[in-house]
Amino acid sequence: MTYFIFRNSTIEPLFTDFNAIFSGYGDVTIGMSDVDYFIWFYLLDLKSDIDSLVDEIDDYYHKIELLLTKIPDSKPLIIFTIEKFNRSRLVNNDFILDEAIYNFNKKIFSLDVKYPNVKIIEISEFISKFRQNELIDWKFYYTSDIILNPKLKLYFNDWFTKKINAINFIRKKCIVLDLDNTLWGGILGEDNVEGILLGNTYPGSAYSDFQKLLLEIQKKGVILTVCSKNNKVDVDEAWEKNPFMILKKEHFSAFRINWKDKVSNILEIADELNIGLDSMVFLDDDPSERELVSKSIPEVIVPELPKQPYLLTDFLLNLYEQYFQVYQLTEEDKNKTQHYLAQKKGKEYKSTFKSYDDYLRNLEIHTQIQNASKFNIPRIAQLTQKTNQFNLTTKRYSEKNISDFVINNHFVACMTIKDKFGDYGITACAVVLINNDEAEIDTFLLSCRILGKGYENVFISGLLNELIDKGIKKVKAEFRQSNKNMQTENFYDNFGFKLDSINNGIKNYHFIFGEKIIIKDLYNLEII
Amino acid sequence: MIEEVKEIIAKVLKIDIRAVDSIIKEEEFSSFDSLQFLNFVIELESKFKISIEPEEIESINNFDQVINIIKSKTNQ
Repeated sequence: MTYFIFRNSTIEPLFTDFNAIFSGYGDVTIGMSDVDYFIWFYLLDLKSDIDSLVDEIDDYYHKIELLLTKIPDSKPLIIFTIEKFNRSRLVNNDFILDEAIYNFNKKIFSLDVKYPNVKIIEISEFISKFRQNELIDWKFYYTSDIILNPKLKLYFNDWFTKKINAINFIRKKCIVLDLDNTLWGGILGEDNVEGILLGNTYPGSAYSDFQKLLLEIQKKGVILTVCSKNNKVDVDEAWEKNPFMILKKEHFSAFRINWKDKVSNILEIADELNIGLDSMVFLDDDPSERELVSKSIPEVIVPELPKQPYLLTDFLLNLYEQYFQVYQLTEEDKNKTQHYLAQKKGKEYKSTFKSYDDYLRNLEIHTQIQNASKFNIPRIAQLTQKTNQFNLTTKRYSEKNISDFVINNHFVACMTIKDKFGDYGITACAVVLINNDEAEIDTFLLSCRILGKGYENVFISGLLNELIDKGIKKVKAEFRQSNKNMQTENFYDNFGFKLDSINNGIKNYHFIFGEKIIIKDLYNLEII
Repeated sequence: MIEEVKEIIAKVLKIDIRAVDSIIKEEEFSSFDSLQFLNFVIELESKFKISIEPEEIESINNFDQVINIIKSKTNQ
């Protein structure tokens, strides 16, 4: 990933581990355009002359406005907010400066709404972690024009990487929760429904707040599941009868409440939800359970839970920041739990039908293939970043990459799916490179949430029919083996592509066009 | 301490640790540009928890001087 960073001071030591190119101080000339991200990282000077600082802040905004006229819409521009590190010791309050900073930050947040390619990073989140004397090293300020202490580099790298991951939708998907002394205080089997610790007084209040925070996190698209050694009837009773229970049964997408080992249960949950083990975080107060899981399934993140209940919410906020933060929630994220519950209902429904097509027809499926547009590009990029299993080439793309494909007249499309159990949103996408009358399928993927109903054949058929309409005579495709996509190894073979070669885990194919491919009407495919 | 300083040089110049010996044999640190030298000083200060004064930074020309400054500030 390459960055071109507009700056007003020496910031290179903070970015030594990144592939970054820097502007001159205060210069808004675009020195290099072939980068993944433009970044605006101005830091407020440490001098005490408030009037001149206020003027400088005004100037920053004018420069950003100018920059926005130069940077193409398809290139992301990440703007850091400004914050003062050096509170004036000459006056009791420097509210004029505070107001200028507030107004500047307010204006750049409005740019985030107006320009889809603008993303904002709040520097206050970083500097709030440090004292003033840690943020400033006066020696480097005077000798090297460094405003933010370069010795904070490691912390800054870590924080900035998380912010970039959040912008690129790179995050874990699922929290697996123990119950006793994790979701509530006490042991349900011993303390009974009324005796477990939840409510308004400590330590129950700490567990209640922990649950409230988990609920907020669930609303941000993180899947909550339960893995607990308990009697299921006892847990159901606690969910129904304890008046202080914030998290109800419907907030969880999967449960394993039994006396089996937790490793087997976690493997089953991953299988049931069709998610990778490396997208799971396991929370359990028992160190022996944590050790068993972390040693048996090293892909699962197993953090150490604080022993003191009053530290639980702070722990969870840090965990969220570390593994689950996302810059912008998509509609699919907001409804993720409903999607998984709908999928579960669908599985139960399936068993009552005579034939598979009979089952599918009764699902009242509606599919729609859409061309890439500014409305769906964020989700398409997110799918390329997150999808591992049904992903033929596992190529990761940013929003900017996807926009570039569209600008260069390649064919980028996605598919939405809904049925009587729910709207799954955009759950498949493809990038097809067009070169005159030849096409090459660069990316073809489906979210694991919708596998098992033949949508992959609907999508590829729809795409190939579209390519016929575009006058394409020959289509090439490839399968690139990864650690997780083995289920797709024979997808092109099974669909009727001709295998040309196999080399180092890469299978090359071509497809010979005949008539348009007939797609079963039960999928109600619409192409827009 | 010498090995730790060599590791810092390798990290700052993004070179293999085995290539550091040839650099420190030179009369001057000609392999460093100004930014790499700044990063070198920042890394030294962080690693050995010392503060190197601007005048001392100015005076650094070779590897031995670096070692002497660190020794004087860490009582080694």
